[in-house]
Amino acid sequence: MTDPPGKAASERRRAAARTAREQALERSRARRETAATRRHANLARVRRDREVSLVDLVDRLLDGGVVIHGDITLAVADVDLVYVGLRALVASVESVQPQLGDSLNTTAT
Amino acid sequence: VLYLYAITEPLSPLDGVIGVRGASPRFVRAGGLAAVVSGFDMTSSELGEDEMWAHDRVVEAVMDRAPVLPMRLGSLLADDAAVRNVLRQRGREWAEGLERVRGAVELGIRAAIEVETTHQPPPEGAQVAEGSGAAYLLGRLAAERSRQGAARRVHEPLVQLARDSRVRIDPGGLARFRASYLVDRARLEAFKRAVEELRREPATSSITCTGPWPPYSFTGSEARR
Repeated sequence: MTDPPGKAASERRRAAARTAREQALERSRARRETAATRRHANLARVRRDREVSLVDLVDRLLDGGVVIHGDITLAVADVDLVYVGLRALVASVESVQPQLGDSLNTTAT
Repeated sequence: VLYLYAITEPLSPLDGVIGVRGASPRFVRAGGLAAVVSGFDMTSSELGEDEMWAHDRVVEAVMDRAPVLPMRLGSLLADDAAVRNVLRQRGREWAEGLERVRGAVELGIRAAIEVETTHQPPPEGAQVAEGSGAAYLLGRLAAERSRQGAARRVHEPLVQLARDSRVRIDPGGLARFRASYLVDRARLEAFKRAVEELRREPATSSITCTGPWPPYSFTGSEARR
């Protein structure tokens, strides 16, 4: 017996969403690597776990920093939207973090 | 509209640093301070990961040259005059803020804290029935104590090397310890060694350290979200 067409379509949508998510993560990883190579500066850098770096950056940019109450600030809704979008990414990063930490620990110098 | 990255001291131009959406950051000066800004097109106001890294990149470029107070993501002002106004209005607060972070950087620490699940014996002489409300509360209390103890084991050696700190503990079966430390550049190596020592101990082996970051968590605005 074949699945009803609606179910097959939703399977396909889920698979497409999964691929899109994986590609987004891959792109963001590539961007972080470029960012990391730029971070040489003249400081002794503490070993940086790139996956954790994104989570830490998001925390700092959205909870820290100087707040100004000007005539125009980005509508709070926009920032909250970003936050919601990134929460999902952060959650996925945190869930892969243990294995990632292990692999980095063994490859790090 | 201008996008704001940071408050700092007046500096020579930032050459070759690329800001949010490819814009070139520049300084707007007033009252002995400078704001790092670039033009921002409001037709697309959604900010994503690229903008976040661009924001951080500009702040880090400034941080390598002078004390800096980063702005929160998405801070916009109408024009140069509005920036000069806010620099004058809050100049004193920001000048003090720059002194607090001068010569220091922020380091981020995360650790998963194992909470002991073994039952603690009830206090001497107390009659506590297994499965009762009192037993449950004692279990919760023991878990909380164990969590606080583990957090202290991470925090105490690190805070001794820091100028200031912010600590958050997210509760849960595997509680997450998250902290930021404001550390003198001269003490970075010592801080790094302290982290490595904690990593070697089983109870705190999950510790990760990121940075050096600009002092995002030490700008004096943290509680205003």
